[in-house]
Amino acid sequence: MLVAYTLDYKNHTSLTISKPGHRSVEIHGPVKMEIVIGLLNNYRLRLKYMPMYSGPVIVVDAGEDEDELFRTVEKLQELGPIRRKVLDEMLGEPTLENVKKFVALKVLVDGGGSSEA
Amino acid sequence: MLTLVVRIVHDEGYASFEVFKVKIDGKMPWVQGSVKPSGSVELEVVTRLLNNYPLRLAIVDVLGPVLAVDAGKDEDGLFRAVEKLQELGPMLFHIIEKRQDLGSTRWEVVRQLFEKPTLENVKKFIKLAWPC
Repeated sequence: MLVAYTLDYKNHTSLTISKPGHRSVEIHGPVKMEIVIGLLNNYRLRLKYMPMYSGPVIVVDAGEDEDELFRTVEKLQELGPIRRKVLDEMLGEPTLENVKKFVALKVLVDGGGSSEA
Repeated sequence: MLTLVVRIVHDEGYASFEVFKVKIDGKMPWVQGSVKPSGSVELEVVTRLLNNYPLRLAIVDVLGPVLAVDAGKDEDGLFRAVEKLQELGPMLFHIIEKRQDLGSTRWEVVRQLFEKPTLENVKKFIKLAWPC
């Protein structure tokens, strides 16, 4: 099971994806957030009250894709900032396969990071 | 286009959510109303009520990342039901405690609310608790 929740900051809201009891990835940028939202919308989402998160969270029923989905979100977050133009040209539908390819290509093109604004 | 969205709110180590009725006209959203269930019983019933419908993540200007509820023709009724549940919130514990005074027919309506909180069962409960 993966869990998603939002956190409010002074001037923006982040989206965190968590593996309960393991690791979490917090997404801040609007383009990365758009990719992750598209990715998570491929799976069944439901609201659940979870005391370990101090309240309601979004549960992502990703089934056998769970580990791969989490690793892909982690790798996406490790990339530098992504321009919307690059996203539109390279991604297409945000399926797990397409996002994995997008991340791999971006690492190849940028050499593991990006200086794009 | 009218839609219902749920925004999870974190406030000093405690999380809850707020249900918004939003009209999206072009790019700008227009919030027409909102309800923030606060008690643990209301939160549980509203959570299970919303889970009867398909949910998807979306980004709405001003609100940020939210869960959009695809309630179709139930949209207005669902929002009103959440509003009423919030207003009845403090009574929910009291109603459960008064089980022996309710009689079997009325208790059945309360039992259905907790066992299967569909919009229909929530409406029946609201009618029982608030006949006017």
